[in-house]
Amino acid sequence: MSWFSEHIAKKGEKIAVIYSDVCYTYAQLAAQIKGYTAFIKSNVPHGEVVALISDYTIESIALFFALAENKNIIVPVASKMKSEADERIRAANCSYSISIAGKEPVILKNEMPEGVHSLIRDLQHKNRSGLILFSSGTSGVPKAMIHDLDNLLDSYKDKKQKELVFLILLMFDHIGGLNTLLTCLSTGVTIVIPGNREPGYVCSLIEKYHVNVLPASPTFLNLILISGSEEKYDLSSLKMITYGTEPMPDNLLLKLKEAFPRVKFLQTFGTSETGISQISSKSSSSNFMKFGDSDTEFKIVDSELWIRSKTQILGYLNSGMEHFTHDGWFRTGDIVEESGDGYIKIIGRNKDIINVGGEKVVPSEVESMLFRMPGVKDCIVYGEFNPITGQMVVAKVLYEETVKASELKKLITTFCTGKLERYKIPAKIVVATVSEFSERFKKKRI
Amino acid sequence: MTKEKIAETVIAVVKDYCSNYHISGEINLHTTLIGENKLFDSMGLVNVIVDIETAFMEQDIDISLTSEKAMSGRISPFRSIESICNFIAKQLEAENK
Repeated sequence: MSWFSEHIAKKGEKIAVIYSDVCYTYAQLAAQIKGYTAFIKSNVPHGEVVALISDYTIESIALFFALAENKNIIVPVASKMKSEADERIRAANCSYSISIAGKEPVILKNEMPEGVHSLIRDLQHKNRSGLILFSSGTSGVPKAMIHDLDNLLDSYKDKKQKELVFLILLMFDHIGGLNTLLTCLSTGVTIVIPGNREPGYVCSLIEKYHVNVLPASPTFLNLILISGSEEKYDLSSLKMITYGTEPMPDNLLLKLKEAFPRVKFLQTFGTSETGISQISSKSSSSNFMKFGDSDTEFKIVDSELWIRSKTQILGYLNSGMEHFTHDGWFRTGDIVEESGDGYIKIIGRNKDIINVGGEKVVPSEVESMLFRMPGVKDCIVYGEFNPITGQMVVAKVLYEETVKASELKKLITTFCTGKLERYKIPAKIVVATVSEFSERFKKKRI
Repeated sequence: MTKEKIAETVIAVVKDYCSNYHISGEINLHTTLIGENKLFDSMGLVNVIVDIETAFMEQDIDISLTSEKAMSGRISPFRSIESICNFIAKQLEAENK
């Protein structure tokens, strides 16, 4: 049995997971892992690539560890869209798929083309478990990247034990979600898994189970403010909100700090390629952060953040290593600003930068300004083709009243004039009727 | 939509924009927008083009002045108010065929 499974067993009667109003202890989770390990060993050859099709449930967590025990290469698939799930199973060349029907795991053998990728063969030869994650795939086809899972799990060894309750929002197939899960289990805390990600429901669970830590995306946190859920429920148990996966607009952070004055806000940072790094925020109301992680090196090249970490991927199954330098640095594509005292702030993504006739516009700067405008409940800023300046700034805005696009543009132009340079002021306004979010509460960039 | 109606909408948008930005000048079909005696700089033109699109959209008429096609002609459709009106009329004709 691996050290991680042993660690879980040792926590005994402590509550590990609360899901659908049922509490499961660490001992129950350990027993589940043990049972599944025997089941997997007799049904799936070790070293095979296996898709684990499920969102977070007690069963899927136990299966994850059972597959790691069997030295399988795990492909977590949490997508509710069958086409997306199938695409991932194909891209990773999974020979088996496991899903959960009721409470029982169901194993399916997939017909896959012959041939094994050399990175997978290497892991099999070394008798190590693996993990395949996908990039969000803005270019169309998601990139399949492979981690040495034993190496990743080992980075959670000897963590200080804590008495806290966490609520997990991010999904199983996301490095941030997986990191939260592994951090929680390695530090012996209690995990609350919500049945859905509706802000009011999530807040009701925070009240009910006295949740202390909420890892969430800025978009989800804004959704809580929009719905007014923080006023409806008693959220006084919250000690810390950690945020990541997209840049936090300065003004949203200030609004959040106002709504949750006693909560500590901490930024997290990670990429699917390099794993999650330990960082510290300059203060609760600051977006500036500092790497404090002996496993992660960083440097800034032409305003872009480069990272080299001990938990980075072995490679891609369906893509080249062009984002890595030959000496192992990963070019994150995140554009950063330096404060001079060792702190950095992420201001946008390379590809998100809008080029208006040669002038560069970072969407988060415009979004931050729009968030200060009375009546604006949410917004997203992106570039669109324009025959005069190549690109122009477009803002999709959720406004508190029903308004025509032409009227809203006038209001926005008046508000921004004198505060933003003219080329940064949105030339086009799209009125959103509902806050438009992707499944992961990460803003959709168009 | 008649040519007169198209011109009416376009001129109304240009006038509105000019009055908001205190741009003075005679505004009629023959007013040039870029080039000599231009009314707007590039950002002004970007904004007016989008505003014209929006004005038609709000009358439930779907036109596009910001497509790649608007750049492909030898003479830019954005040279004068008249050329913009012609460009819009052509799009609407093509749709009705």
